[in-house]
Amino acid sequence: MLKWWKIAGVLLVLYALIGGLLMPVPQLPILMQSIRNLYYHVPMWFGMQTLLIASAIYAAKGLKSKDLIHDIYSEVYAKVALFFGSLGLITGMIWAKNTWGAYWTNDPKLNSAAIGMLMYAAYLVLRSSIEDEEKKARISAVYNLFALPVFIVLIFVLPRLTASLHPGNGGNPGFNSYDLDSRLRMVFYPAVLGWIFIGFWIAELQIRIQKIEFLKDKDN
Amino acid sequence: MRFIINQIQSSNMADAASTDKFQVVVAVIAVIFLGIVAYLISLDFKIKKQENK
Repeated sequence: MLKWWKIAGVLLVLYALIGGLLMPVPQLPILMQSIRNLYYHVPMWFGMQTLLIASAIYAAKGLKSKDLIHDIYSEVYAKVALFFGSLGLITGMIWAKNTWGAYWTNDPKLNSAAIGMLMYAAYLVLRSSIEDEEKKARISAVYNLFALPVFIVLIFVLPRLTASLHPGNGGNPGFNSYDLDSRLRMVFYPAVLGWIFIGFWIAELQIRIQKIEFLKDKDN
Repeated sequence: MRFIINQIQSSNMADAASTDKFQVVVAVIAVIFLGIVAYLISLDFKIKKQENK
């Protein structure tokens, strides 16, 4: 029997996929119907950020306990977070093309997101460059713990200090001030929750596979 | 379900949503997602079997 949060994740994302395309949205200048991408692009970034936080928590746990199982959790959460980040980047680029006229602009948030994702790609490269399992777990956990605050600064702080095309950054009003009738929230919040649950489900499957392999190797 | 249908009818997308083509697009997206979910569920049960072994 599937756990409740997995079923909830499926139902919420299904609702967001169908409702996101068919339910009414506020008619905003420039954005027009493309605002529906808010239900796909932003929740995927929320999913990524939640998974990155989980990855850092397990990195800290691993450093404390020296248990390699925690390292498996930390690595898998970071990998799935990168996958969600890529989806967020692709949906964001399509949105940018339709509203700003180009797939990639010199926007600080876009550049910060790219740097942040490359930082985590470097985390995976670092992991693959160390053969000793314990050393790999320790060094990558330290890297992970430093990467998360830098990533948060890059995504949430820096774009707010300079001019930015993104809503809620560089003096632009956020969606909250546009959306007074809450029509967006009815799909947006379930979408965020749904994608987070789906992200953790994908990560959980990967973790369980790696745990089985880890325990097999330990027995041999 | 009735709530969603009412919302769609009052939507600015109502014209687009009422076309067959648009409904096919939504249906295809839903089917793709359900396919991915079916794969995740089957994987979940396969892993469970391995864990029980």
